[in-house]
Amino acid sequence: MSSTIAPARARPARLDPSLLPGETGMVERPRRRFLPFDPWHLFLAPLAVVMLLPLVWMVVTSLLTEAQTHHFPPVLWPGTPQFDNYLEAIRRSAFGTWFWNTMVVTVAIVISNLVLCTLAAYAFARVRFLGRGFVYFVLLATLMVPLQIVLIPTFLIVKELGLIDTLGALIVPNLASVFGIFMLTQFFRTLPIELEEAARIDGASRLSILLRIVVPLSLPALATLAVIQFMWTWNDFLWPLVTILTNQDAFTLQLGLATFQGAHQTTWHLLAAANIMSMLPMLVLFLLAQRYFVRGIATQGLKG
Amino acid sequence: MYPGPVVAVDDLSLEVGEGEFLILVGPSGCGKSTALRMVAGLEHVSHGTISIGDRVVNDVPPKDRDIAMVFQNYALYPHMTVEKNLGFGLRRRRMPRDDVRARVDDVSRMLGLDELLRRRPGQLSGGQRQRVAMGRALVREPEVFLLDEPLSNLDAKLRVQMRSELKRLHDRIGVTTIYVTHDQVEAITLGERIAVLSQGVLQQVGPPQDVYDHPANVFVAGFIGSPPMNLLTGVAVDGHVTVGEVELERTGAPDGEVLVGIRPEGLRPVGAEHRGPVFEVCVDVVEPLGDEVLVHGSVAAPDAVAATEPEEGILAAESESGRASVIVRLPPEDRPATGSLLRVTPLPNALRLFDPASGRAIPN
Amino acid sequence: MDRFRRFLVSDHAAGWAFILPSVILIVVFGLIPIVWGLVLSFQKAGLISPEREWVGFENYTRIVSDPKARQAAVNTITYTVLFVPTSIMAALFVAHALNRKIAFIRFYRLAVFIPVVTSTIATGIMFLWLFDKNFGLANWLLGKIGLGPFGFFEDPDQAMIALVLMTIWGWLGFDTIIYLAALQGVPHELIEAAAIDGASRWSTFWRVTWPMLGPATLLLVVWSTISALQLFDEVFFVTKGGPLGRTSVLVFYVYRLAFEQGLGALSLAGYAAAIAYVLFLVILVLTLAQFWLGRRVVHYQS
Repeated sequence: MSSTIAPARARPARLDPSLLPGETGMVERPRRRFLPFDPWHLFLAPLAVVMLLPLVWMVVTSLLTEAQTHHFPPVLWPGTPQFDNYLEAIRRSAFGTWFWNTMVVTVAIVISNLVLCTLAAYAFARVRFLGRGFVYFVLLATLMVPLQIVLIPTFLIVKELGLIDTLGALIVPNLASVFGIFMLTQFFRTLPIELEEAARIDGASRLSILLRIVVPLSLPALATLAVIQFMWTWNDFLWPLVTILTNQDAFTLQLGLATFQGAHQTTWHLLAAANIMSMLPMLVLFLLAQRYFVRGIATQGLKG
Repeated sequence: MYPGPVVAVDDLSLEVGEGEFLILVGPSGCGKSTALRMVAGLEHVSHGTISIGDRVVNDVPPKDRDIAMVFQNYALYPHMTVEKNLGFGLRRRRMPRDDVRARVDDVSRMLGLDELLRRRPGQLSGGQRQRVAMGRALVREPEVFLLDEPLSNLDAKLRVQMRSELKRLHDRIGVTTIYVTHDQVEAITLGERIAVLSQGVLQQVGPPQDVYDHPANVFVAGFIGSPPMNLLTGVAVDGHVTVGEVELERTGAPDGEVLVGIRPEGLRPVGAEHRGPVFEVCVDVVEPLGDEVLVHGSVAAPDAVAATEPEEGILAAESESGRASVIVRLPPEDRPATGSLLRVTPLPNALRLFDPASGRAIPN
Repeated sequence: MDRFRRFLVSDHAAGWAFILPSVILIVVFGLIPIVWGLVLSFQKAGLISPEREWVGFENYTRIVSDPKARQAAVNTITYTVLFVPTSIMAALFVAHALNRKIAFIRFYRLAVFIPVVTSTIATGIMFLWLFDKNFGLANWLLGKIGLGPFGFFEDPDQAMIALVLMTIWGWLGFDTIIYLAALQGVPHELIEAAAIDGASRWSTFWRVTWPMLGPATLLLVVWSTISALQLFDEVFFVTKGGPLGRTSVLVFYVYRLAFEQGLGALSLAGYAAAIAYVLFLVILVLTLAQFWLGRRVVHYQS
């Protein structure tokens, strides 16, 4: 027996307001709620405090007077924030030089990486050429080798090239990174090859396919590479330490900060200010491009 | 089982008899999967109740509802062997190991999985995985089976094969089953009763042949049956229905516009001397299918296309040219030429009338 | 001539043209150093002085009898054993906590991720100040709950633990991102199937979710071990290997030998290179072992 139900026109959807977006709709055993909020906050909130504490405390310290930094119990809030500390830190050290150097080196490396790694990665991903597999394998093998092995010999090579104590020592060895090539090769392989094939049939050269078709489709991956490379270069300490020996004009921020700490042993308020200033570009970049940082790290995990 | 859940969009009330094989069918987005998931406890019910047996289970978590489900993508645990996959639910419920073994062996023999027990899902073919998913549900011996489009990921040939296997299984085991599919052929061949849904609203429920022969509204008429029912606009005056120039023998229709539905097999070719209503079909495309021939053409009558897409509303674009498209089913020997005129007459009792405003069927 | 022209426009030429700049750079600054490093390890060499004397395996045997090398090795292993499991377990728990949609979740995630972008020096400065014996916030807070003042980096027994805490703080975000991505990659249907099958939440996590995290866990173990064995910046800047050499790790020792002592009259670059190579071999063996173990235990999704 069939039954006829319902008018032909359906009524508009009624959303269930009790469901937060994304919450699983699964029926759970009814649990008595002891708290007016989700119990996970009890773990996450203190965790957030612990993770942010060093940063926040550093900011506070950067606004204290010198006397306040020599106080125990620690002064938790400056009476009047000493914004002057920032200027003083710049004045008392070569902060300006360090910042400029780091910026120059980082931007140079990021741009160079974007160009060279894209070219190479495209070739490895899409162009069939003699020796491709072998060269790719050898390149990947270098990723396995830890830094302390190459440290000394690379130093010697850079010395032979006469680059010691110059920014060139920091820039030249890092103009292309194997990591960048690897990451982009993986990514380019995921693009639909039909687009490139159509372009080849239309008569486009390899270079113009790369520039006009592949690159515009790869902006997120390129952004991710840029952001990760920026971070590594900006934060690099060991290599500048090793190659910039006596020339203080070529110090990067990390090097400068390290010596700042040595030279001005007790001026925590200034050191704090310098530290905050050195972190600012990275923090800002992170806040703006959080998605790319996370994606860059996450894809490393998913590639297994 | 007496479920009466409220689908995300609208009212749905259904009763499934014990041991019955009920199919929820409808186009994508009609709410059939949501309804099934509500029965499973994977979605919240905002209004109404779901009962299994005489238990109201709205607040009961899925594992306590005594149900088993087969997911569209099978959801097999990739890191466990087939044997472990099958026994997972039983072991979670603390069943003694020997009993678990016995049941797993039974079910794997029944489904032909005994060779595969040591393999992992990644090493199985699509059809094998589907059987493991079924096995995992069977092994639990639940009160209700829920199947969410279990055959849609299989290739056509396998699908046909599995359909009959499913039917055989149900005949043998006889557990109450709710099955969701968007494929109306599956629905008609498998179900004891089918429930047609559209946009969260139940359109009709009943045995497949009933639903096919007496669709409750225009949506069901257009959705069930392939190729779909022909729909033409006609006018009823004093109980006589006229479509274009053709006067049909029908009574009982209220005066005014009326939708006339005729299935492709409801039109019989006739010669020039036939008395009675005759449609002259201008033949456009002829599709020989081996066991029959489908003729696509047009007749001189306003068209009315039944909407099977929710956004289109009941009546989609009306033909501007004053001609309506029809499809006619012919025996395989009949092959009219393109552009020729095919004369057909409706078989007795082949006409279905629908109210143009509500879409509802007008009874005899 | 024609063949040459065809070659020029062929894919072979294009391919090589594209990779050439990068390959040259990587060969000069990547490959050659690797080989040269091996060569150096068999020599007695100076960094500034051009002295190169072939000494065979003498550098390698020297490692065994060098007490400082031994201490560096012990410290490195201690650090690794403390750091790797702790940071990974913590990251798993935090990722699980962050994998839900509650209020402020974006803020919580940000708080956990941000330390990733701070440099080792910046972190070192922050923690030196935090852990300052006399004026540091840590001792003040701990004093409030009755725990005595700690020496942290200045106490030979505590310095290693303090290092571990500091580096976990810096790396937690990285590990968490990976675990969070892996968690979100677990198909929701599996969880639903487990729920229907009758698994409790705990059961579902350990029997369904956790195995699916296998690849991520393997990656994190390998990656963390490699970076733990190569710890340098923090040791150099914060503890200088002390107090009493208790935090001197292998890479730090290598650096000392090559760039501090080696720059003077002593030609220790070769010896340093030898130590570096031994460390490399250890890393290689460990990595291979972990991968091999991983393959037996981890099941990748089909």
